[in-house]
Amino acid sequence: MKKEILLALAGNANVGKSVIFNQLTGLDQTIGNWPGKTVERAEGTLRHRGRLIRIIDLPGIYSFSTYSQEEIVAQEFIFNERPDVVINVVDASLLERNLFLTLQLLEMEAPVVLALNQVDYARSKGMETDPVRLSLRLGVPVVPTIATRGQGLSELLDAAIEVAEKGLRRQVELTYGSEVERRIAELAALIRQAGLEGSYPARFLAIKLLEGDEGIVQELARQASVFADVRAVSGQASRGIGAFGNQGLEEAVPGKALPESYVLGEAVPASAAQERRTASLAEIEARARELARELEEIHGHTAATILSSERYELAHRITREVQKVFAPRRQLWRERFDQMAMHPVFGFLIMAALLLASFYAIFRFGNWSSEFLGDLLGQAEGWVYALAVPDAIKDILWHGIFEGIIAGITIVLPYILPFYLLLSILENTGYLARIAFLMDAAMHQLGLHGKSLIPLLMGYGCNVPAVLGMRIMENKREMFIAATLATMVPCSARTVVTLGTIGVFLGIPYAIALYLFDLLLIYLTGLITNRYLPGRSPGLIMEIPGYRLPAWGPTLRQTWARIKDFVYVAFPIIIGGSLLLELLRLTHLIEYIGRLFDPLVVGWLGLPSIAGLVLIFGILRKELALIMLAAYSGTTNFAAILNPRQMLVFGLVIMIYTPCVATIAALRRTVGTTRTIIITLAEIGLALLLGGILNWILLFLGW
Amino acid sequence: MVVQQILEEACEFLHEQRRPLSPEELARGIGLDSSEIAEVVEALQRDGLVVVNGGEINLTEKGAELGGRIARKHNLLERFLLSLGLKKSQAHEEACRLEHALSDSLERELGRRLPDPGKSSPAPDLGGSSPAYEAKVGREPLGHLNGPASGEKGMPAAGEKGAAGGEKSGPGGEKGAASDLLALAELQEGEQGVVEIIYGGQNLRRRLTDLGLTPGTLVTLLRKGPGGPVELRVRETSLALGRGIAAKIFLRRVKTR
Repeated sequence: MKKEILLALAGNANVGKSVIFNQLTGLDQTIGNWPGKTVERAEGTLRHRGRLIRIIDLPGIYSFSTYSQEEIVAQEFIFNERPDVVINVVDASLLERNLFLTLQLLEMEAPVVLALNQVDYARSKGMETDPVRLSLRLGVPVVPTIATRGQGLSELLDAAIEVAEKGLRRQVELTYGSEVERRIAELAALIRQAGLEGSYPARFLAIKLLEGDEGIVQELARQASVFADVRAVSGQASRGIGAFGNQGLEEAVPGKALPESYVLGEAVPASAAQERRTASLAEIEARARELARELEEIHGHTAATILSSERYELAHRITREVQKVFAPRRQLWRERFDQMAMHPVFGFLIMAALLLASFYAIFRFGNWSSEFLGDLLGQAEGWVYALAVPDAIKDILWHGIFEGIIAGITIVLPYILPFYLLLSILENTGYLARIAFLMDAAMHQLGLHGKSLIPLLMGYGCNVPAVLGMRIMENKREMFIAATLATMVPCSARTVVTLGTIGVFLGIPYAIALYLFDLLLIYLTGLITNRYLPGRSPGLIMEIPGYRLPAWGPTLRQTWARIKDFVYVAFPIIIGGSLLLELLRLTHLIEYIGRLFDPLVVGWLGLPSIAGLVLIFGILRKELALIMLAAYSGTTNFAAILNPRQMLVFGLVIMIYTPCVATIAALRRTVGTTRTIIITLAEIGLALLLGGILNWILLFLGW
Repeated sequence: MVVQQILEEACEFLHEQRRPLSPEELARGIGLDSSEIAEVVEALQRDGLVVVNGGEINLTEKGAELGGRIARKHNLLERFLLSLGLKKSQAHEEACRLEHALSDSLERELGRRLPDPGKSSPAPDLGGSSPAYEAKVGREPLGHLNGPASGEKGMPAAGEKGAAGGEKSGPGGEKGAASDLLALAELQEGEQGVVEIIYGGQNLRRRLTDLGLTPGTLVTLLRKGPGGPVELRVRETSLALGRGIAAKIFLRRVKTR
């Protein structure tokens, strides 16, 4: 009996994979990033029949290849981490398309257990799948499940444990058309002869070579040289113990990456071995190109397309064999609702109404509960100052630590929790996909597609979840643009500053003008980055799932996991920032540092030195900018320290100058360090530039 | 490894110039660094497309044939794109990209559908698409690529019949149906078509075929969204595609009524 089992969940998007993950792991899960990637990684553990099972939820993908981050992550995980079992979640109502991925998993010789999910939904669409026949046909265990209700999950785990412990002996061979199969066999034989397969099945490599998958070619080349290196080392090592035998690479068991026997390997000069291997790799590649060209000539399509066709053909045949479609029911209500939800006029109206209502509710609830929580937690101030410690320590404790924690809590619970809940519901009901469809053309101008609208709107509450939410974008370029724009949306902290200064002392129209200007700026930034950033955003390619009622348990658990992610990213930074700020204040370093920037702040922006202080340290805690201004100037009558011109400049700069540190941390999570630095510096530069220009224009106008 | 596309471009440029070129001239002509050109020339030689004599690169017969074919495809595509109303510069740019993806059979069809341009007509022999090629296609058809690979199981029988009922959809069977080739975006709501070919990078083609848009697949256009995205039904799934992508998928209309 295995004590610990590594289990991977693989499958298309929208098949209930996350629901299964959530049902299995409960609250015991963490969401983070895949190392070096901006793909979300969810991991959790559970106990079942005395085993500890570690579950990794692989990204939802439609195919295994090395073209997208998600696909690379999934493929690498299966080959490098070698999970004991892979649960392939398939949607019973979309069997054919889902089997396309299953066939690839089987090509990879992964230990697969099939979760035939949403059998109830399939039945309601008039489809009945025979799990036994499907199991016989594929040669892997098949367990019908209804994940949203938790049905079949225990059986699924039993089957998974059995495969994990006893291995999967597949007797079934799945083959494609003979002309394709013949060429696969030839390449596979060549690969085996050259001993190049390493940790990959030869047939899988052959298929990838035919498809012209460049990632795999590189991987093979890397492997060829690694083998040579290993032999170089082992060759030296074996000189002392050469008597132990001559098991060289050619005789090694295929399918094992680097068996120990290599250490005892014979002493062939490494360079010769490497040359031979690299040469045979080049030959195999050339042969693969030739065979691919033959296929292309026969069919008039690329070899990759032909192989996809073959896979779909097989998936189609299997589906026909195992699935009965009786009394096909058209989903009339779905069609009717889509007719409205995606209508060029009513669609927008419905969307606007729904979003306005939700955001209004979130902000109302947010304001109320934020205040309530702030008051409640603010009572701790009395206790802290009642402690029998020096005043300086009380200040550090209160302003440096407690206030930071309170700030975090009063953002997270009131605003972010309901937002994530809304996002989760929109996503799980399938409505998000309709919004994306409606907004596609409009967002496309900015180099984005419709999906980014929701996180963007969320930015009005707080930029951190908005930026983190942009991980739903599909490639780095889009993520970059989306995250940049998200940081430019005036969050509630900035709104407070704008309203508290310009709104109060110059009048609401000026505040609104500033908002409109910011919107214009966001639009222009989108246009410009889209125009000048290398590459082009790929157009929308998205499945539109059927409408479902959200399953509350999994939705809440998913929300909770995302909140945890936010807390891990933002809390240490908010608290650290507060601590730093308080220390600088207590040591009076803050004024000194502030003065360093006087030339820029006073000379160029025409602001008083105090405002510069607030701008600089506002980065740490933007929502404190107004309070800091009041504290350092000793008055809340800001008209006394800022004249109208200065107020406008100050408002403008605060709105665009840079995301706060928590947002910067979120940016790093989403787009990586380099791009975060670029965005931050660009925004500081932009703010200084525009602020200065505004200052001089207003001066010129005699303000 | 030098990409096939670069080799094709090099041959096309040499063919256009009609004289031997120095490596530097060739590099400039196809927009490469002089540091990269050596590798390209080497690959050209290896494939028997050029010979290098005294520092001058000259096309072999095989290379000239390839260059000529690509140039022909380029002309054809450019004319086709112009007939769609694209600007001259845009048509040229797109044609530069598409010329490498255009299959010989589609080239033939394009040639047939486009009005005679008067000058620089596509060479009558059409290079690769010799009778031998057609015979080969006819002998070894990919059965399922032609047929209704995945009829819409839950849909009314008309669609199933329309696709199965002798609509010539494979690359081999072009008779009669040739005039029905059109971009997905041109379908009307509710109309059906059979996927013929996807123009676009390897990546895009790959993603679309992965989602089930393989040649020969029956799709139904469900709706067109504001500003150009389309929703279609393919293999029981609803798929939304942006306008640009929908314009790259070509299919044959299947008449449902």
